[in-house]
Amino acid sequence: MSHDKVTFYLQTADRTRKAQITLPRAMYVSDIIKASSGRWFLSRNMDYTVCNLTRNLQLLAGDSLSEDKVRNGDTLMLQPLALHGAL
Amino acid sequence: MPPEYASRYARHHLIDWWDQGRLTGARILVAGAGALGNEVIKLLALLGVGHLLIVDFDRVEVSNLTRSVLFREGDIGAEKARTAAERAREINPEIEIDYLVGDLEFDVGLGVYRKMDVVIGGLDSIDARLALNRACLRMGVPWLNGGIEATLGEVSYFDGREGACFECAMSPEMWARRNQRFSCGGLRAEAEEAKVPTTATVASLIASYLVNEALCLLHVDSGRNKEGLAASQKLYLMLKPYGFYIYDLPRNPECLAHERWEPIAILTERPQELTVTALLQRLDARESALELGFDLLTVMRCHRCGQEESIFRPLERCGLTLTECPRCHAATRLPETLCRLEADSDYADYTLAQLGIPDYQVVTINTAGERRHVQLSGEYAP
Repeated sequence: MSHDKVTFYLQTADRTRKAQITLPRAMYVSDIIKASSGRWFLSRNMDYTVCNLTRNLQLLAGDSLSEDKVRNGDTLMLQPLALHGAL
Repeated sequence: MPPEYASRYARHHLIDWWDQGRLTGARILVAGAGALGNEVIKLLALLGVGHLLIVDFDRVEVSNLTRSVLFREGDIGAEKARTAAERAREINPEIEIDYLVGDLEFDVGLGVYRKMDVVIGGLDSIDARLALNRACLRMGVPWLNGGIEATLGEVSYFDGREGACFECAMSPEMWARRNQRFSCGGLRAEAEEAKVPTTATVASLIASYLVNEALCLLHVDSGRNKEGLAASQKLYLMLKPYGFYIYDLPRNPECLAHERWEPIAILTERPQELTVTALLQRLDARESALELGFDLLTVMRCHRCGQEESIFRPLERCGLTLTECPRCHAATRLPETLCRLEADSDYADYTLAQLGIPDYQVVTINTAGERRHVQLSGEYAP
């Protein structure tokens, strides 16, 4: 397996969408959010974050898929940010 | 039987680690008195947290009644903060509850935050969270962020001193979405807020976690280790399907929000008693500048007909309708702003209150790049 790529599971928080994907480690988390929001037709009115469930760690949009953030076989979850509460 | 066992808090005293005295002496600021705030305030009142300050600028609407336990139909149109405070006093008349109808960034002095044991945010926008986050970081106060959507919610704990903060996780997309609310001149676009699906069940659950986190924090002072979330952790709760996740929030090394303001000198004079010149003289800092910490709109000037209007308000609080000229009726007025004043500036003879500085604000004096922080109005005593 190439060291410049990583294979992981990506799922939405409501678990209605899930995929095993292989991506270059140079890719950024923001690229994953953008691509999966588009392919999975997720609401455009939400902000999303990505959490590595295997390692209990939120990934920043500017993070790349480096070895210390994502390992082969990890499960990442695309989570809508909950930003309401006052109305 | 010891008298505490006959008190309102008798069942609390039966819990071996419980410190009701710590709760009675605690000060908590609740930012936002909507769906989350109502539940948070209710729980804090029931628990007997001694001093609450409720901040909200909004008024009760009919759609709030499905999620807001403290509001009734007769409250529609009333101020949320005042109404919530009145109802919480009915729940527990033994505690002190203050309220402030206003903006948590511009109407609450940082010296108020500084005196809080913990701040709980049940807010509705990224903007308000960014403001609360910066206030708490500057004053070194722990804060809890709550947020809800239709069937999910989250709670984050930021300790106000180290680790990640709310702003650390801001993505370029979030900044872009936040900035859409402002024109290029900095005036607020007056778009109607999107209607968000939420329910009382998710609000109640997330509020319970928020208040439990506050309880954990207050009991740290009683010699216990913090239970619940560690600093810079987020709890993410899903109701459909059920899911419960706790994970770490990484600190973003490029985040600009991590700025602790200390030491802080205290002046007893109030903002309405001091002009900029008088403040700089009082501090023996005549060659220095007062940094407002925000863009103050001073004048709207029409570049077509020359009409001008003096307006002293923070730019962020002013809407795009101000660009419309009342004389030539074109949207051709532009804002003039300032964010720092020296002793010989145009507006140096204005009082600090006229410049939009509230009681207990901590202002920054910049002397050749060296900054010092001064709190007005003395110490805040709830």
